Amino acid sequence: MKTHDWLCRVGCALIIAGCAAETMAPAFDLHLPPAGKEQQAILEALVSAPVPASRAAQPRLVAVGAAGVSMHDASSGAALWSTPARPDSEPLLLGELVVYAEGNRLRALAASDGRERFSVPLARQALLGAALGAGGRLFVSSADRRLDSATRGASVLALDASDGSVLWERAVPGRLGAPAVRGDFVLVPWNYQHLSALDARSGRERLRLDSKTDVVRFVSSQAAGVAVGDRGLRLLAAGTDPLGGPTLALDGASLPGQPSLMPSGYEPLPTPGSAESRIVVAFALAVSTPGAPAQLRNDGSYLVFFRHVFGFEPSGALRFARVLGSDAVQAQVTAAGLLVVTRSGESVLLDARDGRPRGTAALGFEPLAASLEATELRGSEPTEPALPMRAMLSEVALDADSRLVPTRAYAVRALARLPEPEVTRDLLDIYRQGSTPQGLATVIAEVLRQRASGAEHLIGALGERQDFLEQTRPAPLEVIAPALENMGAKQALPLLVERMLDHETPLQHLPALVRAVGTLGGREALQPLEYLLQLYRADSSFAAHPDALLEAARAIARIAGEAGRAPLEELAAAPLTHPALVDEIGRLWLPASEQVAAIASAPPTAADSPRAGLDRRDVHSVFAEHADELRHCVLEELDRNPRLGQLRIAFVAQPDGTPRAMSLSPNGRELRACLIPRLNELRFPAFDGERHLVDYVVSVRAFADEPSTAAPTPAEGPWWQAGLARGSTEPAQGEPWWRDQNSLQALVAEAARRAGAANTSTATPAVPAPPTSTAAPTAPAPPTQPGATGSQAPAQDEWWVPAQ
Amino acid sequence: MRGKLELRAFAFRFAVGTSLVSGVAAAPSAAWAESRAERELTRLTSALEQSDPAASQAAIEGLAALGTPASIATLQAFVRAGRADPVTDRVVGALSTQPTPAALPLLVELSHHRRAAVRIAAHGALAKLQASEATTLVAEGLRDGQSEVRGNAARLLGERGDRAAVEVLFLAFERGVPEAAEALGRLAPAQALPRYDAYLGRRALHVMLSGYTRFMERADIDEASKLQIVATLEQVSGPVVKQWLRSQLAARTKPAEQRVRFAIAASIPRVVEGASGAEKAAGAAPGAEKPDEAAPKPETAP
Repeated sequence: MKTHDWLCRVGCALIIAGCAAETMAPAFDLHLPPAGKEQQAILEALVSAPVPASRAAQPRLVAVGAAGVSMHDASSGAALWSTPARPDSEPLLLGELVVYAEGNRLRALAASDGRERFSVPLARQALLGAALGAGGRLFVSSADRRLDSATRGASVLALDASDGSVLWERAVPGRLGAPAVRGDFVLVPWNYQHLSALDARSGRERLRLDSKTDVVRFVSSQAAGVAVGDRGLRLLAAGTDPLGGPTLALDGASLPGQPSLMPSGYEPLPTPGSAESRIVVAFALAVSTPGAPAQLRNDGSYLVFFRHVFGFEPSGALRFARVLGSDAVQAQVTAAGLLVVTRSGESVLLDARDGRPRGTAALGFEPLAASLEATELRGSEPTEPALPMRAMLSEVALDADSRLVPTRAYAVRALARLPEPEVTRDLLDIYRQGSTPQGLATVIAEVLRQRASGAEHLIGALGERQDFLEQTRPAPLEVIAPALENMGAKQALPLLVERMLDHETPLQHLPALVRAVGTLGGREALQPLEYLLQLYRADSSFAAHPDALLEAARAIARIAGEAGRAPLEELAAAPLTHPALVDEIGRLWLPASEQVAAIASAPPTAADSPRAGLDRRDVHSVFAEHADELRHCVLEELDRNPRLGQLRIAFVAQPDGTPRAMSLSPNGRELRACLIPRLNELRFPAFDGERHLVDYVVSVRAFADEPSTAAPTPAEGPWWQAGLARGSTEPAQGEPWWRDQNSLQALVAEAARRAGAANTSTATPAVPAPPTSTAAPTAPAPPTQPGATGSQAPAQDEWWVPAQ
Repeated sequence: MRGKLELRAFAFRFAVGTSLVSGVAAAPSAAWAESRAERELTRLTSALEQSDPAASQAAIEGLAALGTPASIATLQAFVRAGRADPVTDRVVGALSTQPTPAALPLLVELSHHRRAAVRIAAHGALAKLQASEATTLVAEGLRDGQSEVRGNAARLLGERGDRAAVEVLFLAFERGVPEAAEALGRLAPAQALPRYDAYLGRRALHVMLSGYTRFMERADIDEASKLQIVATLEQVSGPVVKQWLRSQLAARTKPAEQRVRFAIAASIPRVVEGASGAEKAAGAAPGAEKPDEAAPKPETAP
């Protein structure tokens, strides 16, 4: 018994020691930082360190262009200096220095005149970030580019800012983040969980904080304090849980593309021109009392998404929405609003209250990247008339740029919350635009159903029907009918009936229309519903899609009650009545429990079989539906990597259809920055099973074996002529149809040719293009158009094909 | 009440018809005729629902042949009760074979059926009616989402010969209905030829030639206009035009057409055999076809 006790005690001691050794393993120094009072004193010093004064009297911005690096006056755009350079990272404007990576070196220029201060080898290949401290010390984090986490390392380096001489270096066998300087300490996040404070003079680790509540993805020293966080943001506090303070009421997850509040400190600085820096959550923390929740300067925050800018109240309510002339390359919160530098070479100061320009300046060239130091820039009072929220949101929602679907959808949702009846018309107009991507159309359909006002606009649209001579398109009944039904707009009944009996009404929209007629019409609807049901009960028009007839039977049963039973049963008993209709009528007067049982005993169909999880068809159809929104990310990747053959997308499918933990292969920063926000917006069908991993591999089609052809020219003449060739009975000549109609294909083909050229030049055999005939076996076949016997479209036109 | 009146009207026609056929001078009594018509209607109505397709077909044809509002109303109720495709097709086919003004409402109804084949047949039947509104009703087919319905409507308007349709046919041709060319060739006045010529190069040459052929056949088109057609096509030139001119030369046999013959005969040697630039521009080259298909597409009828 005693022996057993002794063994237990020794075992427990070893386990505890082991655990302690694991949790206390030194990051930067074998000598662990002292605990207790000294640690608390350091913490208090960090929290109460004096606010860094604004370094530059003149608001400045440093920009990277094709010719090199240049410094500009942020208010006038005037160039202060420029120097030839080919940076591989965005520049950092750090007081007296401008630093950036070039090759495997760190270059530092004097911010005053652009002369090179020094150029030193980077300790590791990738520059993560840098911070300038008191006493002329520059602290630089860099990391290996290796993907293997077991062998990847990172370093933090202290350099003399005057000549680049190394003062000290600390290596970490794991993940290290970009540094921040606070007082006499360098703060470095590492392994996503820890924050260490290093003595700025010696590099010795003096304090280590572990986050118990959140991932530590970035650290930033601001006037208001030391900000740390991931999706949320906290200020470092001096209490018992320094990293567990109240979070800022700003939630990146609720914004389009779910951006982080600040860039991850663990990722290399973006390369100039990458998409990553075009999605920015911009905010500045206001100075407040220690321990209080972080507050926002100007009581606002901003989202910059390529060329869309949104301003928010502290509550998250939308303050304004603006469309810039071109993509933003950088943005910074200033005393009066948001300064944005655009790809077209403009710096625009947007007013914090309504987004109106307070000043614009031309840089004189097209910057790829920029860094700003203009926190005190105020500009002048806006002169433009203020736009109503509806106009601002409509402008965003109508932007035809397919990259911007997440923000367009966001604007649509915000627009739909406005009470004005005209918003209903605006939403309908956006929906009807031929260029509206499917993903956005789905959102509009959803929000239109929730509108409570503007029925008159929907009814007005109901009067429009397909007319070949007038070249009018049918009203989007699939959206209008449910919206009117939800609004209870009984005055729409005559037109709804007219559309229901119109042979031009697409069959797939008929069920919604029949349902609306039944709901709104009451007994008045019985006659047209009975007419429809009887006339087509045995007609082949509804053989493949009898849903509208089933809907009509349900509506009649609902309205007529028991009185409708005999006629419906008679109809069901009549010869040649559609079997699905017979079954449905048979179920109508069963008790609810028996209806369920009857449905359960019916042979399963693809539509109603329970889902244990997502299958390939589900995943493919969602990707195919959103191909337009994802296309440009892949095109950009093809530009960077013309040999790109396939793309692997893995994620965890949640039962509610949302994807989580999205990952890509290849996993380039630019591709991730562009694609992941869009992929996170995808919604898959909900299922009953448990969450599971989805691995979706697509081959990016490369028509390397297609002959080289000139770029397609836009069709001349009236718009309908563009469609004439489709119905031609003559053999199609010239370009294959997809070259003309799918700009991506031309670009992909171009990329493939470039790859082919590269292969030729390196004497490597070209990779044969995948045969298109085997592509996309699950792609839905396009509807056959009568008369389109000449030039047949291929069975699928997705820009990718499933590789599995 | 209305049904009774219709039955009486039918009974009268039936009685008159019978008397003419049988050569009986004195008309039978109205009561006797009414009774007989009612019996016939009843017989045909009951035969409609017979399972024997031949009997049902005969009943459909019988009701269409009666051509009274009552018999058409019976057919209307029969169709509205829901029929398999062949039965509906038989009804509209019978109404087309035996056109009657009483069928107008039913034909209008069927011209809005979801199946394109029914709409095509309904337009065909409407085109055979003498009623003035029939032209307008057939022209409605030019608005249809299906190209075959539009093409059929254009052809029917041309065959019907009502010049009121010229404007709508020009609009259809502008929108890309190729069948409108031949219809215009049948209906358009000579003054409209320059307007038609303006489509040379914008529409396929064989489509344009189908219209010119009809213009050339017409006696009401003056000789000068026909000579102008020949001159215009000579400028287009090419083997297709040459072939067309040869066929026109063979067809122009009447003495009154002698000047046109001479013009054609003189023109043929001047037409270059190889496809000229003008002919290419006129759409003779393969792939230059620009037929009807520009409309926004609804779903294909199953």
